[in-house]
Amino acid sequence: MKVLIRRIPKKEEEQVIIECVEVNSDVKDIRNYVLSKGMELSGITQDHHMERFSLSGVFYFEALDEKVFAYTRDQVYEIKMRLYEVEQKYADNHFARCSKSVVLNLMLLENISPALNGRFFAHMKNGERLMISRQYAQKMKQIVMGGGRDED
Amino acid sequence: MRINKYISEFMTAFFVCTTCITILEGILGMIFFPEERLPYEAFFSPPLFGFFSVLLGFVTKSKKELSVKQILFRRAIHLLLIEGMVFGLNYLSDHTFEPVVTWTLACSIAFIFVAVYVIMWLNDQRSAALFNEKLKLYQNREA
Repeated sequence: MKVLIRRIPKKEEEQVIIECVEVNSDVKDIRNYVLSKGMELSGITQDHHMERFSLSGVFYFEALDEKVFAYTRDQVYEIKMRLYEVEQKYADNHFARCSKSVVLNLMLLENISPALNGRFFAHMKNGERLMISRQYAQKMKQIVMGGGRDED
Repeated sequence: MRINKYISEFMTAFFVCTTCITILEGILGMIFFPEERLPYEAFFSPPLFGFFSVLLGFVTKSKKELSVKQILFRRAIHLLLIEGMVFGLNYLSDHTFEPVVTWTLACSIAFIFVAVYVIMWLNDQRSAALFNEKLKLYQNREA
């Protein structure tokens, strides 16, 4: 496959065009990779500033009191999306629901361990610990161990 | 998928429970009633107690995320229900025990109760280890 890089003056006009005979899994992987690298979100910081941040730097999204927050290593952003939208929109970017109120980034998940209540703890790479519900643990296992997403 | 998971958990708990009860009945029988010979119907007692014990586990189920205190409280209720069920069924079938047998049986039930949860926790631990192994592969593959 040939790779062509062309320099352009404006950041907003950056794009990746894939020319292929067939949209196979390799092409989809390239698409997902590009989307995850380039994707940025807008959010409101705790001191009420609007900022842009990288999706790949988000450890998890959490729904609290009708609001959805994105947690990065050193900042918490309120975003204007519902949690189910986050789950659907960023499923291809390695985000998966782990409980009713949390969608986590599988790429920033350190490991899991069993909890006392028959559920699991998710230990994130920033040291935070989240709860994984039984119901969602199964789906996470399917993504990680089965190599695909549950389409149910 | 969810129902299958519940059935699988129920069956795991049931078989672990039944095995432990069979062993317990054997040990307690040899200690306290060595001369007694049991009829074939006695073989149904461990799975029956196992089934009811696991069924009483409904008190530990909740749609909400429970705190550790709430979980421990519900498990204590579950244990009390099992103790009540075992002694209740024995009483209904005219089996009463001497105090020393009663206490030994009560403590043994508590021991089995803890053992079942420990075995299930170890099973979860194994499952988590497998997940962690695959997670590393997934992250390397997708990075």
